[in-house]
Amino acid sequence: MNTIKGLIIKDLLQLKSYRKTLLVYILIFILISITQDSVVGVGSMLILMLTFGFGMFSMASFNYDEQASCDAYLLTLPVTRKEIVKAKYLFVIFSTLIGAIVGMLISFIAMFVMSKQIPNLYSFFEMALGSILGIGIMESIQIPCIYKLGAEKGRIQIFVIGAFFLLLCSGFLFLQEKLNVHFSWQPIITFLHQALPVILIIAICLVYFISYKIASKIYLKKEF
Amino acid sequence: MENILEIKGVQKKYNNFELKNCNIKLPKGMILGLIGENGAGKTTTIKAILNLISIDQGEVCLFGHSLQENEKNCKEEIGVVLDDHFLSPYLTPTDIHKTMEHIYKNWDQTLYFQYLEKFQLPKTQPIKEYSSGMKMKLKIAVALSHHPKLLILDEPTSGLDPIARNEILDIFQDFIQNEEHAIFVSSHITSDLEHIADYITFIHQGEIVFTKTRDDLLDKYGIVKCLEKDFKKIVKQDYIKYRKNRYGYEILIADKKQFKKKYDIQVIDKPTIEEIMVLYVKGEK
Repeated sequence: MNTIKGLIIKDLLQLKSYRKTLLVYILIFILISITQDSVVGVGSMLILMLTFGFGMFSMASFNYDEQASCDAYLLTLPVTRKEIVKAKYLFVIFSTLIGAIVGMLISFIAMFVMSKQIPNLYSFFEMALGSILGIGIMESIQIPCIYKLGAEKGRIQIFVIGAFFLLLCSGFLFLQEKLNVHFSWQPIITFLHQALPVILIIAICLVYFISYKIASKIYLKKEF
Repeated sequence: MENILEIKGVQKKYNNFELKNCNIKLPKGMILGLIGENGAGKTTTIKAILNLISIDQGEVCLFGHSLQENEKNCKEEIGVVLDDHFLSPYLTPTDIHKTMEHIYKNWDQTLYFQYLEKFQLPKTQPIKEYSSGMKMKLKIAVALSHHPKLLILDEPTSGLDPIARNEILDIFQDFIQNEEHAIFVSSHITSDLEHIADYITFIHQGEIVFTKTRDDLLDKYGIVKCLEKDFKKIVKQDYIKYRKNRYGYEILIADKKQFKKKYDIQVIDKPTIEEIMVLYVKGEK
């Protein structure tokens, strides 16, 4: 565990030059949010964007590692390949979680200032979980791709996957319209609303776990 | 003598290169220099030792244990300097300390900062602002600060000026004063190895050509310089390789004394490791 702590500290320290950028990013989104009319919209946007910002901040550590060909060096230290992957996932997950918590705090304050009422904490929690799942899916696709193809090609890969999903959704909607089939989302929405936090937490854990297993498999076989 | 490192029949095949049946032994208290031209297989050998690549065949033993079975413990006892790989250039030496103190069980903070002071490396300056010599010294300081028994160094002096090279070679000489220590160093700067190495292993096109003591190579080997009429008198078995140049022939021989007894040729030069390497690679038989 101590080794993993060392690796996480390394990631955190190498991103310190990024701190100012992150701070500017947070400020920009606070400014954009408070100009919005909808109070609920401000909350959702702040949580989503700050979760995204912190998540991407942690993903930048892959670029720094690649720039210095760091992985080959790390493997000369008393560190196993599994520990390297585990440390990376913990770093990314904690950063994303911190992003969601910071987002919740800032949006809580912003909404309180704007509406002069104490906002509904439960909806904040739901919004944060939803954001973590969304960003978590992105990260979970991206990390194994980076391990397989490198940080540069891995980034291109995420755009390709994004475009593929977009095409898939458009295709589904197109077919629905052409075939004149009416698909009702209502039962799904009702179900999700009843059990949302539990489902979201399970989904988040599952997404990261599957991604970690795939990334570990790739990294164990990787040659430097 | 107990071997600190043993490479037994290691093979690794790539599409355009193959490391063939690599066997190397490094006893305690010794420095072994691995020499060879670029692309000969030096770095592949080091990567195989460190388990950075999966080998097709063979075994690497460190401190008497198989590396595959005991990787983490073995790596606690080694310090590694790789030419192209290190930590992020945005880290400072102090950041590196904060990382390494959690990674190595024997990390010695006092020793590390002593090395930084000795090498005049600013503690809070990012690595990206360091010169090549400073970067190499920092890599060496990190490699030495957990009291390793074995140093594995890949081209530690390449790209450095003579003064920095000299300082670094002195560090290695200090390290090897402890007889429990050993150094495995790959370099194509053969003059450096002439100063420090006890054994020289020459690798060519993925194959170990020889492992000899430095003294054997420099004292017993010779380069005969002669004209064609003299060259024709020499039996093929009595030389290793020859090269024809505009002044005559350069012939690499393995035993100067024997050669002098057999042939009436007096001009036999003491070779440098570089000359031996060049004749092996470029020479004919």
